[in-house]
Amino acid sequence: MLETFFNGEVLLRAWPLLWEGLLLTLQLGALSIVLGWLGGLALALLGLYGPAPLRALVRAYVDVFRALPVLVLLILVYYALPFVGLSLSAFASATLALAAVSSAYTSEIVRAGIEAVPHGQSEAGRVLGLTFPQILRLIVLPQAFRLVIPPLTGNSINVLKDTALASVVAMPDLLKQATQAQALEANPTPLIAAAGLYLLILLPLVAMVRRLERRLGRPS
Amino acid sequence: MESRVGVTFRRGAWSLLLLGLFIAGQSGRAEPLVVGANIGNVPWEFQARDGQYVGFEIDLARALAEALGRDLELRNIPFNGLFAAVQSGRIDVAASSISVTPQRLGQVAFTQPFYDSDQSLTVLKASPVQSLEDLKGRRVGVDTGSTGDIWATAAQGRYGIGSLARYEGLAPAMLDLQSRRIDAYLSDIPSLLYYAKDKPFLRIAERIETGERYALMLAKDSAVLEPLDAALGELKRNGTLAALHEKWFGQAPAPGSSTVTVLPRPQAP
Amino acid sequence: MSAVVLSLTGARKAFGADELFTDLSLTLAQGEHLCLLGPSGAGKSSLLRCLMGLEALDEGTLTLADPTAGLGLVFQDFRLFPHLDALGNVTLALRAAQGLGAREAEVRAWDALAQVGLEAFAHKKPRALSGGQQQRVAIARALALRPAVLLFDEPTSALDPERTASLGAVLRALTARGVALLTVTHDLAFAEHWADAVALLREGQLTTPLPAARFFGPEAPAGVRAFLTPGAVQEEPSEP
Repeated sequence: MLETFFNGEVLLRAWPLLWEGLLLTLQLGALSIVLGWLGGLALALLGLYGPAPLRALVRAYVDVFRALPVLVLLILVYYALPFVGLSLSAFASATLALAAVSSAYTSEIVRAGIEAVPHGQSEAGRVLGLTFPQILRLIVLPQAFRLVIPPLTGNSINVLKDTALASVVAMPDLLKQATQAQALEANPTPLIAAAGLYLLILLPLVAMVRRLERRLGRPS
Repeated sequence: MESRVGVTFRRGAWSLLLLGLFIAGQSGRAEPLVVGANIGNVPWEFQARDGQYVGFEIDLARALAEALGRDLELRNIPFNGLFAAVQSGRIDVAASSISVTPQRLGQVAFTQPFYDSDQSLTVLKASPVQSLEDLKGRRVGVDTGSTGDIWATAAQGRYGIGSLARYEGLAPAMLDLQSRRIDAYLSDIPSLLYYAKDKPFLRIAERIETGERYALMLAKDSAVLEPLDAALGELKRNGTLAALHEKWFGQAPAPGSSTVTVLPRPQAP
Repeated sequence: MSAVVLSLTGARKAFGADELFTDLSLTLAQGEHLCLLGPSGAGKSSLLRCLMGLEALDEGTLTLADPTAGLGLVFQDFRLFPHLDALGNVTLALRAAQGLGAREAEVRAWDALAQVGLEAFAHKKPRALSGGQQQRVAIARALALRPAVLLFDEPTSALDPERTASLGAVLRALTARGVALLTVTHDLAFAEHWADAVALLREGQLTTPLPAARFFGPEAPAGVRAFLTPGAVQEEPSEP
């Protein structure tokens, strides 16, 4: 049993593969998360303050990308786009799919955060002679930011977990490398090790969300 | 009153259930032989248009189950999942043109081999790649954890292969070959010969002689190993395997090949 | 009579068919404290919002003697920025709206906080301050922009009598420096004590401002006396 599922020799041999996979998973995750934040912030602002047709477009985008399973989107981006002449690499496809979905969720989180800042705060800014962008940047967003950190971190955890889906488009992420190592070794230890690595990255984040929620949830 | 009716009913239901289980157990003769295969691996195991699983190894598994006096239950499992599947006891046997390697023998057991194989390099017809020598800087697809993967990983430096892309089987790799995300696909030759025969846009650029042999894979301590291996030997002797070769490859197996020669079970080094 | 710093003429504001006031005119002189009384819903707060530009007048002209020195407003609920400390609340607009450098903005902010007696609390966040202290930060925030006129919406609604008195003292110090004040309140005692002039807004009309002593005295016009006398024919002033 121990020999099969926690084989030290196998782990040692598989480690370089797993390490490469871990780095790629972290790169993919970090890039998708940051792009998702930026895209989500832009979408939220357009959806709240943009001209009416743009607002409708944003709403449609958010609904579609929240409804689409990431895996389906990823397969569409990777395998279907080449037929219309856009052939993205596995990494680019995975980043695009993850960031597209994450930005839809992020925009909803940010929108809720902005709407939770009392309207009186914007009026106070106007009375002091601030322009709209200044009110947004200096008054509304800093307050919204505090509110959205816990749900945003939660969403980022989901993005990190969804990076494992990239293994279906031949991208050597952590899961893919672990799968390959376990097939090469004919031993499941690398998969167990990969599970451990995922936990190592994600558990601290999960704990952080819990702490933030407790701290920010307390009435001030 | 009511409760007594309930008890009576419950007792009745229990006996019916037991009877059902008894009948089910009887008709199954014994536990079915659970065989896992990477469906989509032509011509070894794939789905016919009517949804039935067919192929060389499907026929082989059926003949073996018959010989063992057991029902056959087929499970579709991706190639790289087969190893964990036999080790965890989820399936009794894995059949997926699996080559015997020393590495694998350390972790799992194999029956005697029944097919001699090599690797192959497949490219688009118009591709400038004529042989392994042309792979410098190119992107090559393989199946995750397959012997092709192992061979290509080892040979990557020697041929200056640019990078390897790892797939869960033939179909997604072929999509990427056509969308030119990869320049060549390196995999078992019988599958590619079979797959490419009605696809004129594909070309097998080179046969890579690896001398590998396919066998059925089981857990190391499997109780089925001995009887299954004996039954396989018998199917070689009585010509069943030669007939399967005829059926799926349209020609008789080479004399002296593992398809017609009873061999000892490969042992861990 | 000091120089007029603000004059509003012919102002009309309606929400749909509901007309709040019409043909309303008022002037504020430098250093004057004018207090507006009136029943709830008479449009006092809306008048402040219109003066401030938060809402548009339907008709009327607002003229400022010095367009570079504008108006400031202290909200009833203060509306401090909870993510910034007192100093940050005051410097924000100095830097963003008036384009001052960090150092200059801080000097001005400290000066404004000193005028309301809050230097010791400069680095406290609003939630660590009492209601009265928060109000003073709000005053300092408006004051730092050096407005000609400061508008106050119900400044005493959150204060006990003692704090009301110290607010009155702060306001008196402001008028002494030449700032004109326009306060809207339900607090008759506050108006009587601290305002230079008092006017009544009711049924869309603003009465002529009178010195506090006359407004609350026996010679006040009948309409004012009707408003001030409890149990009289008209509605009573009520807290919101």
